[in-house]
Amino acid sequence: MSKRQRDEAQIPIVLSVLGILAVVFFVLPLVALAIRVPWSSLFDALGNDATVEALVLSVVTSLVTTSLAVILGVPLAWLLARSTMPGRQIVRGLCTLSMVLPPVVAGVALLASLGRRGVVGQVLDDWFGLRLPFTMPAVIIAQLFVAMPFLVLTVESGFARASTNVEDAARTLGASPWYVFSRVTLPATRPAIVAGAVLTWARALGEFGATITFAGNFPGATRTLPIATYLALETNVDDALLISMLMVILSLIILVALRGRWVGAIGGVR
Amino acid sequence: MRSIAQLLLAGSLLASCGLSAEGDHDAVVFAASSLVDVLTELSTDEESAFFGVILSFASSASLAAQVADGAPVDVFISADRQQVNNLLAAGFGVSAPQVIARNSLVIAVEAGNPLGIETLDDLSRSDVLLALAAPGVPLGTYSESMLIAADVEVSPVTFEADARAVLAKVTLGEVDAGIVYLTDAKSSSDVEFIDIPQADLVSVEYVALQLSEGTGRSDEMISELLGFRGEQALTRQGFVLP
Repeated sequence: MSKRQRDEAQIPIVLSVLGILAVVFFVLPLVALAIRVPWSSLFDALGNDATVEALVLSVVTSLVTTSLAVILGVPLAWLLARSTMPGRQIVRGLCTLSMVLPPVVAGVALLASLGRRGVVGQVLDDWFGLRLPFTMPAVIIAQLFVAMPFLVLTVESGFARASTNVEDAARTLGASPWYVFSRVTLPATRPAIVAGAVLTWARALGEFGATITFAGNFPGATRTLPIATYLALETNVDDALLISMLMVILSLIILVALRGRWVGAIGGVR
Repeated sequence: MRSIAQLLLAGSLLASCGLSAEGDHDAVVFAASSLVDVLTELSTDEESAFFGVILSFASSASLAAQVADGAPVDVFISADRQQVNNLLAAGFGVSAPQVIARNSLVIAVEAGNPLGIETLDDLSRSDVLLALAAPGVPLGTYSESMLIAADVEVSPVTFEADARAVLAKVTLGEVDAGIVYLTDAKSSSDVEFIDIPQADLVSVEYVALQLSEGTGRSDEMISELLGFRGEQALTRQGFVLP
């Protein structure tokens, strides 16, 4: 019996059947979507100013969100993984809760804090005349709130898995804590950071509930692709299908471009 | 009699393993969200033709799309005549559509009306943050037509998905005013509403379309809405009779 034959024989039939069922479950809706999309009008949709506006807004806001998530999320992940901060478990729970909250609840929470009548928003309005709801920054805040936990959790597990021996060696050779972090720890966790950033970007791109609740819907400022899709469903189903397909294609391009190189690092498989 | 019918129905449902074939269902009514209070009240009244029927509420456009996709529905009540016309054109409907009620547009403002908004023209003031329903959903289309007919130019900060979402933005204090249906404004105790004389420029009609004959009680339900019991329930929620 060759090694190959033995490997195949060892896969239990039950697992194969259930696994294939899962594949069908994921692929079927995508295929169905592709079948129902009026492909002939795809280029009309791309020539439609409102759709292009929503596409550009979605791409720009989700990329800004991803950058901010890296800037804020990597330090947070480091604190959670390496520091001896008291109550780390509680902090981790609080900082990742927004990931499991219904997005609409996240939106209401953001209004309660940063809205015109919110705890902090009221102060911003009174002192600086600054109002966040219905603005592009509000879209980014909503995305950051629900998407950053994906980066934090991925990067934290990256920091936790990285060997501390090399860091110790660098330290004994006289490297400063910042030098050790930036030249030793960070390069070692790069795959996890990139994987976390991709997950965060994907979640930000698809964000709907928190955005429409906190940022509303205004063309060019807060109407992202998911919101445009939802409203198109009310008026023109073909448009909704086209915008949906646009999002599928956009996501596929990114996933394929990153395939193997970085995305494999998600969940620790590299 | 009814319990025997229910037994037979349960039996037939069991026989088909819960997968209902055409005609094998309890009466189903699809209605625009603004009718939720009226129809829910009727469906719990044992005397009503709506007693025990399955009710489903959503925006008229999504419901019409489900009907067109073959959902087994006996009566569809739309907040927008256009949706009914589209279904008729596609061959749905077993009798002529009937207007069962009218609604009217009002301005919803925060309790106490701190900005002193009195007229439709006040909505174009630069210090007033305004929310409208998105053009395309019935309320948004009605609001837009009314503003155009009244020759009032506004710059809203957001276009919400439906009347309840507009109302929520007003209730939360994120906007100063919003245009909603009178019935929605009445349903919330956190807002005040201001009548708009120009609301007469648009006609907000609720149109009922009978989609099945015979077993579904659909004609009884429509007559009831036009009769005394229906009128009482509708006017109690602020609807105007046709």
